[in-house]
Amino acid sequence: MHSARPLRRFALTACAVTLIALLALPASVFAKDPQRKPKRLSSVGDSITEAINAEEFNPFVFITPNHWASWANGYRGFWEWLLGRTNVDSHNQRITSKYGSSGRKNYMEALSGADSFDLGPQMTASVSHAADYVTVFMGHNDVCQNSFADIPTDAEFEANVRAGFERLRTGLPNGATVYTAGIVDIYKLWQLGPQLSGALGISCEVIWAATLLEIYPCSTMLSPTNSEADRQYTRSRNAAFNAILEELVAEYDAADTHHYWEFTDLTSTTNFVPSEVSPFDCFHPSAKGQKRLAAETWGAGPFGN
Amino acid sequence: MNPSGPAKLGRCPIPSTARSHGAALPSRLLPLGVAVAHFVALPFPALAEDAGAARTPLATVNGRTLYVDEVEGALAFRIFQHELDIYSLLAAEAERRIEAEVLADAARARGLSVEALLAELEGGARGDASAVSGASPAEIDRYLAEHPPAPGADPAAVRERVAQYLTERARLDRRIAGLAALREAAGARVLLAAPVAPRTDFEIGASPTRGPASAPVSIVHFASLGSRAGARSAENLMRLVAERPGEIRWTHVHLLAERDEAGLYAARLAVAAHEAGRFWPFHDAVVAARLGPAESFDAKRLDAIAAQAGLPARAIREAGTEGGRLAAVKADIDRANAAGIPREPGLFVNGLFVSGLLPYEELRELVRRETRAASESPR
Repeated sequence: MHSARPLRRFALTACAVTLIALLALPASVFAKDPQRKPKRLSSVGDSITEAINAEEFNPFVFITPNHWASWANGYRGFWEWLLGRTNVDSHNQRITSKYGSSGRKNYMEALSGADSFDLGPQMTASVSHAADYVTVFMGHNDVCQNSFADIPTDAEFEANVRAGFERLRTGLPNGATVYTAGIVDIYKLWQLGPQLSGALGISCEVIWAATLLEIYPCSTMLSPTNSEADRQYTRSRNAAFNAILEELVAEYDAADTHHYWEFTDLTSTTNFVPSEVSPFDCFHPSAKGQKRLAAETWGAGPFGN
Repeated sequence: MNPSGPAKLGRCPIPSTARSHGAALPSRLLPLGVAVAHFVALPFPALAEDAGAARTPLATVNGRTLYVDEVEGALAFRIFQHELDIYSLLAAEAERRIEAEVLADAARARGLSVEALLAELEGGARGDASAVSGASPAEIDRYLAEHPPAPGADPAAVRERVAQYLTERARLDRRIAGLAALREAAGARVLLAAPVAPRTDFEIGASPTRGPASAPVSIVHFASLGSRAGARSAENLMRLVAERPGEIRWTHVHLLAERDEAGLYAARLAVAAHEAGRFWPFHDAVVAARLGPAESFDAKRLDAIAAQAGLPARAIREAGTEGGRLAAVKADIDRANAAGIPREPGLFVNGLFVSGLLPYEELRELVRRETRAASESPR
């Protein structure tokens, strides 16, 4: 009996110390719900996620979705086998390889031409699909505008992203993961134009001149009337938006105990080479470029290891 | 100064005579030609040593050595695409190093840090980047007059965006001009030359071909018989052949578009037509139908065209069965992919790749140049 007192005192002290330590920790360290397997994939994004003109091009449509070649949702079926299409080994394919095909869903909310103002509707669709893995690759069309006056301010871009993230935070099932990729440095894509021109039976300059008629997007980078300072300005907006994305993801991951939020800047720091750019529009990633995006983002992402 | 001119990425050059079909020396005879030339010029032991040193062995089979130059002609366009990637990486790295070195040298010469030098460049004549003022209301008005905002846009937000753009652009203009001046003073420039598009020695094999074997221009047409783009490209070739009789040898290779059901069925029928010696009548009838008024272009219609082109009914039935002629179509697609053709319609004109969407006038000019070159080259 006498010997039990020090033991009781020790136990009480240990409990008190543990309690204080737990209270002192940020909520995210101990209170995250178990992470769900990424069986239900939902991609939010724009023409890059739609793999526009990546490997196939219809000259009568001009903007040709190549969904099989999407870094996020890409797949392989009879036509891809027959035509010898590039196996991009997308997130969708890698999820099936790693976690099996049972319960798999592959939703593409991404739409060509979408920008941060479309995050709300696309993320609402992700919520309605009860996604447990949402990829976000958006902002290229915020930077790529018909006029410099159309590029959103930092405050506008942040408000759009925050509103979209709120929909995910309040609507996704607990344990879901949101993986945001930085906007591609579109200046680097523009730089490759002269190397592609004349080499592959196309003239990038002629294609890009269509921006003057607003037939082709991204006048703020591709217009032949742009000065180098114009392009550098657009690039600086690109970098500013990426900084906002990274900060917001960190903020949500720290505060949201029910979901996992990750960001990668690999997409924005990638130095593309000519074969990784569409030979049809000299701008979007080619299937080979999509394959690289898939490999790098998966490797750096929440389910890569 | 670079005394040897622009540096080039290395690859065994393919003599142009080996690449152009028709009047040119067939590529498989090229090694023999090279060997004969050496035999004439050198004593026999030297021939063996020199030939071995000059050629890169690729593989050996049954004691026979396969050399790189024996296969790279067929892969020339794909190899070129890789060379372009290497060139791009090197050129980008060269630009990065030039800028870093130019800035470091200039900063050292002025006793400044690189950051201080950049601030000086951005500050322009005043030399103080922080003193740069924002765009004036008049400048913003002028920009908006030239670039009217989208209807419904918030005027205050638009003015804020334009002000940011004009202010930043002014700063960037000064930085770019300053850097350009430093580069010029340093004599900085990239010496590496971009690789030149090659001629591919595409193996025609048993593909359907028309036009004289001695024609100075060989055109390989990679196209779908189901696509309008492929039909337009074929129409251009028909026009060329009519305008320049005897000058063109035309080979067709099947290449389809994604989910091109009509193209796949037409290709199966075309394989059957080729076996029956009726490929070109079928080909021309399909192209004419595809260019005609937009109407259903399905299996039923293609069957009717095949029958009119003289295909036996049994061959038509077989083409429609599961797997019928699919392997032959797939083999064509694989050959096109192996040659690096990015999409249909595409062309090799004497081994030079051009898009099948090339305007007719440009295609005709290319063929004229090739014909002229063939007539001027020694036979």
